[in-house]
Amino acid sequence: MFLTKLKRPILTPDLFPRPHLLEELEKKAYLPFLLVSAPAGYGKSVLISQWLEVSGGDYTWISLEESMNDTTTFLSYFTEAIKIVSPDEKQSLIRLQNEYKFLTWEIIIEKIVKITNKFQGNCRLILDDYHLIRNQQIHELVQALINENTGNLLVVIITRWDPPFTLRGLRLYQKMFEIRMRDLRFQEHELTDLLVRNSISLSADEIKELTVRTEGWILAIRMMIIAKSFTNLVDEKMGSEMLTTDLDELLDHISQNLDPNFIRQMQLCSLCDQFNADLIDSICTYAFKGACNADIFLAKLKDLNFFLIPIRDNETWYRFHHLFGDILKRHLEKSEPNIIIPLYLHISSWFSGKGIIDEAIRYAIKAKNYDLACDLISEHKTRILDQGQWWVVQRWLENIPEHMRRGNMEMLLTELAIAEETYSFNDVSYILGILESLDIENTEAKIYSQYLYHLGYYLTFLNPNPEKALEALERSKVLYKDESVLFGARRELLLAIVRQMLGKSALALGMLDDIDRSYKHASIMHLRSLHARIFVYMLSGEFSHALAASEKFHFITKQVKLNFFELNAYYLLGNSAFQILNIPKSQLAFKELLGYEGILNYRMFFDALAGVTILNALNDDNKTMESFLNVMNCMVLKMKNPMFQLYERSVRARVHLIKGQGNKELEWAQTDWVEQSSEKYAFLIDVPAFTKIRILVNYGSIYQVKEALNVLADVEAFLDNLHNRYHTIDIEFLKAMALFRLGDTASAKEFLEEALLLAEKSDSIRPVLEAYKVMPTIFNILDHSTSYRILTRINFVFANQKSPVKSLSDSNELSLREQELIGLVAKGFMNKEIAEQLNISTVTVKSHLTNIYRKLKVPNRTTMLRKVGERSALF
Amino acid sequence: MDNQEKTPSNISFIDQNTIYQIRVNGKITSSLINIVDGMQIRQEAEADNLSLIGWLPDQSALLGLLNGLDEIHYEILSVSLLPIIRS
Repeated sequence: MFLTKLKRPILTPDLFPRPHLLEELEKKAYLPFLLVSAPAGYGKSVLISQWLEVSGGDYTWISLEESMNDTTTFLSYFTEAIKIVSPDEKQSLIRLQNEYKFLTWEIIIEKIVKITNKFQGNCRLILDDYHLIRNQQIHELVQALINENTGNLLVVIITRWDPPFTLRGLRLYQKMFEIRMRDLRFQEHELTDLLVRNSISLSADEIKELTVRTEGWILAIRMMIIAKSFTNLVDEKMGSEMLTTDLDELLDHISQNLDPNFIRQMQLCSLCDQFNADLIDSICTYAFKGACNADIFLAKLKDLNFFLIPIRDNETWYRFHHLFGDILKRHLEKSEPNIIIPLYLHISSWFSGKGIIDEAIRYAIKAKNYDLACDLISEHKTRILDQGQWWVVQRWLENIPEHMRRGNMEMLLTELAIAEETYSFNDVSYILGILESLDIENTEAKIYSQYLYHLGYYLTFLNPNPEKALEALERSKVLYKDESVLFGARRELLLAIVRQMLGKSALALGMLDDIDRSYKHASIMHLRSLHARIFVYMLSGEFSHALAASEKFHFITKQVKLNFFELNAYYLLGNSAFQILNIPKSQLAFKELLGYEGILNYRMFFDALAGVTILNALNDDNKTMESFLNVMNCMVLKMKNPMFQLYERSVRARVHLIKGQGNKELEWAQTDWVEQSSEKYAFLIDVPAFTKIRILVNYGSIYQVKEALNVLADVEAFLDNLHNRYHTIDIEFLKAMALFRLGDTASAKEFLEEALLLAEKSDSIRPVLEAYKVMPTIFNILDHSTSYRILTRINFVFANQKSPVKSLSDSNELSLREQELIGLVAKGFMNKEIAEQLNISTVTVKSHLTNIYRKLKVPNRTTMLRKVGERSALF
Repeated sequence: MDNQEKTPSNISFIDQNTIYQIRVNGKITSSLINIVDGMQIRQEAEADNLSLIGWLPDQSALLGLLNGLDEIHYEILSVSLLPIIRS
């Protein structure tokens, strides 16, 4: 980033003082908003700069540009500017750029307002050239900062025309101060003083005429003074041709009196928005051998006071006054149109050489050379992406028109990498599709290898097909060797996962051992290998191994201080400890993560919250559980992606289920529950579609329980196919529960024993405790001897000792038989017909109905059907 | 915006409080209300034409308003000064 844009112009010693304006500014500095609105050349920026110098105190300045209309770019400069006055908030400010992708704009504004609230003393935020901004989001942010009226922030907008704010209210309640054209224009007495200071003598009439002609327009006055200073020697009287406000004409007149080489040098420099001595020399070496040395050139400009504005950066950077620069540029376009594009390219390469990539790209685009801009992005993207700063590359990409990006493989690959980083999965498949249509197979090995890697990613996580994924990844590795964080190292991670998905865990682990031996301890490849190992264990359902590997990974990542890996280590540690019900370890790891909101992937972050909430529900710590549910709820409100609402809803439903209140969640669970195919199970602690099955197995109607068994079989087959064992024990328990509810005790017992056996084998206590909390009665079908060891670990109490289980008939819950009966009544069958269908006596039917009336608190059949209808529950 | 528009002319109301009437084509929407910031909006007899009437401090304010209307895609039909009769 080019930080010169965050510097204010510095003042030249010959500046004309305007004490009455400075005094006004000082008086109104307590207000939240100052608007300086006037056309170009009225000395707006100079006045504010003068004021900042005189009054002292904290301020931060942004010289806005056209490119900052892109919110990502604006945020980069804005956060950088805020950092200057609030260095303590550095981390939160960096985080904002990542958060912008995931959180709503209102929340981003809220976060910024919160940061500005912490400012110490009075701080001024100056937004220069605000007329260039057309982005509504930026307007919203600035208005929010003004309306917040914290008393410690003054927003100063310098603009050529009024911003689209609702100023009326601010004027009415005297919350803003305006400096407009009429305040800035030079008065006759000021003009007289100025002429005296410049040793120019004019008659009173001439001064009057000058004031009228220029209408106090400072830029025109200064141009005329310069023009006059050249003619003074020849003609004591001001020529009438100089009393014009046509700046081009004035400059022509000035040019006639100056060395043409000097003018040309100025014109060439005017192509740069900002320049320093080194850049001037570089431009002249390239385009104008006869030019003078940059230091002499700058000294001459300063000497002539020629609209050169130094920017406060150790005084090494300068710019021309915007309007003056525009005239110079126009003249160059007329006199040497062919020099402009090659010179822009030269400036681009100068910036590139200095590592200022944003500017290099900007000048390449000014030269309309998008290929060069794309090359620059390709060259520098890996380094930036490896640092995890995808938003910087995104900022670069936004400069290239979309139709150009769509035809450029390198750009598409860059977009793919960002889409993966930001979990924009729809983009991944879309871009892969475009790449495929571009005949990518016949391009250079590196590019095709990268494409194959991304295809492998897609086939591993998004549309699992491990055979094809393995093929793509292995081919990618053969084609191009790479050890970067984002590509080569991650490719190894994918390869290990894919091998596990193909049921080749041992092979996957063996290959990871090879990597461990070949690479240095704590190198990127070594870290990724450790990371991959945990994935393999998690997906294989080997949670003790996963925990041990996570602890090792955590230990190493803590030493190397790589945020990304460290946070992943916490998540994996928390997740594996969750499964083996190591409550302290799991809680500790998950709670540690909570401090890193916005850094860790939000889906993982949310899953960690789900984990800690469910743990507390299982541990009967309702207070803590509620507090985490609240944290989750608050977070959902901030998220752009509505999927997070579903994630939160699911966790809420699951803890209700654990607390024996799953019937409350039936209505939610019944919607779209059968549709499981698009679900991502991976090793997520809570999967909404799966939670729905949990609820329906426990509280659904007899038909739904039967259907749930079918859905469970499908889910099991789908996960089995990918060798995903993370959810296996839960599935076995659910099958047992479903069969138990259907009255098939013998089969239920089989599945229950199988579940317990698996749980014991892999040390997964959590599913056992959860099943026990959800449906304690099912454990009564077990024999004393069966799986005694594991059950004692969760303090299970056998039915014939002291049963904690409430008798179903005491509760107000409808039994499956009763539900079935209501179903038949609803279909219009009489008691006798029902008795025949269910193979029971009419007395029993009546007895069932009496029980149903009692439970539903209804007097008769009709009211019963209405109430059941209202509940829209089961039938 | 070309240079001509940036360059102040000799018109005396350039930096004076003035009442303007701006006629635009379009319907009354919340985004229009936000932009016009307190100006009166009148529906003209002719379908879909609106008349915005109100005080503006100078031409920078006028320019800001016109740009704002352009941003929200309202076609500007005419801009005129309304005479102020001083009592």
